[in-house]
Amino acid sequence: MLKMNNVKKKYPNFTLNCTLEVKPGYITGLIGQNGSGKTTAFKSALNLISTDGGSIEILGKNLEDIKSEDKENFGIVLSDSGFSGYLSINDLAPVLKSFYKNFDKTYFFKQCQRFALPKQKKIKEFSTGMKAKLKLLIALSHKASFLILDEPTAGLDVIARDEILDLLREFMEQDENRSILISSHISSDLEGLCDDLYMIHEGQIIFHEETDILLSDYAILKISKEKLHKIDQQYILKIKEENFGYSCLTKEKQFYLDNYPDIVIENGNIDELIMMMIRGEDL
Amino acid sequence: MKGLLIKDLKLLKNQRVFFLTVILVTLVFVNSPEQGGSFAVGYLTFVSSLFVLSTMSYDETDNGLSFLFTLPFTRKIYVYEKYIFGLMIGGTAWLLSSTAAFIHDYHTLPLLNITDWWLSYILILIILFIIISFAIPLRLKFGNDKSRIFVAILCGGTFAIAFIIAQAGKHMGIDIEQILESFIFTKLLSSVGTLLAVSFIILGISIVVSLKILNHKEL
Repeated sequence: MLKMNNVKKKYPNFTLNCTLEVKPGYITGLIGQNGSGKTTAFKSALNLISTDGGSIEILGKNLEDIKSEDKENFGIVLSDSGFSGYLSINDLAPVLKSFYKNFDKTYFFKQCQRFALPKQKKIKEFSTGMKAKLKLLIALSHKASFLILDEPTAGLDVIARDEILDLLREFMEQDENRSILISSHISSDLEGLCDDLYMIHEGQIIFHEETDILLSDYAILKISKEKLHKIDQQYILKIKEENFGYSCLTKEKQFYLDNYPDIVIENGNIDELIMMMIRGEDL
Repeated sequence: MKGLLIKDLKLLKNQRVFFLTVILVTLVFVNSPEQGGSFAVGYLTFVSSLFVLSTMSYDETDNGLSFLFTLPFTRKIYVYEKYIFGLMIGGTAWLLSSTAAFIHDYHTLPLLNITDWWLSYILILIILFIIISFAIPLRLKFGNDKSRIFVAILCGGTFAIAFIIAQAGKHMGIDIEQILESFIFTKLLSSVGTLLAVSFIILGISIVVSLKILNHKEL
């Protein structure tokens, strides 16, 4: 669906260097701190900004060969951008109908009703949550095959986030070749949704793994200074000094469970992983 | 293109009050004794056409352009749509107001030369093309605030140059205004034709410049 190969974008104080792939049928997550380059990566993939190197292939075509009709296969949510706030949902329906051959007006209005979005009110008067829901409904309303979602759950409460994630699961269930590239700073959203995850930090992709493997094989070892020198360190990826000694990130949880039953081993989760990958050091 | 036009027409609804105010001001001008009709038609045409700049502001509010350009159209289509929208709104205002002015003059001026009358009103249409030709690329290049400054400088500069030329002519005993008027009105048909052709060329150059500006814009 999307292949970004060494895509570079240089700014005076920031350089993006991004290689990632979204496979058909996959939900791929992009995680990273604010300012890590997620939005720059999304904008590069969408040809909104020029790049300084690398190549981008989307829906099997080079980015520069993408035509208007190809863009009908995309459903896009950008975190800080959307339709003008001076339009209402009633205004948007004919606009979307003109842009997208497959726009499903019935589905769109039904979902707007489901999420209690007022049809006549101007979007600028919507709450943050309502705006986020509307953005996603627009992306889902024209039978796209590839969703690119930059922080679609930002500003939403737990219930609303869950509803949105359900919508995304429904979207994927309808066609096994559909794909989603999603970024979020709420790691639990991505943990339960994504097939694989990329981590971006200071413009560089520093980690990529299948979510199942991340959750099953990765772990944090919590050990004292003395114990650190007694264990086999070949499977330790990152280490971080703590009050009690060290936290160590490993991809071989089972090895340490089998051989060192007396050390504390915590299951890997995305938050811990981010912390270790960014703050931890190589051995 | 159709989607963009519908969006802009929907956005135009937000300017209803301003539009009504413009019509009211126009009605006041209509009743002024000298050149009332042509001034009112010009005012309504130019102000209406500049609604295109308002739609560009709406598009840009809250980083809206980034999302807008993920929709299925190209940057070229966006540029074309803005020119078409500006000319459509300005052209409609011109057609309606000049038709109303013609009906008025036809019934009040017994010696009305219909061809000359329409040719003189086509001059307003030519000025519309030129205004659009400058306003859109300036707006795309410099954004809302800076483009206003540029338009103000441009208008002020044009008036200043015209004033200086007129004053210089006066010192040399030449009435430039009369020369221009006699040239345009004695050869009205060919003058209007030439000006129309020139305005189309300016419009074409303007579209190319706007495309170049937008193609280099980081969204």
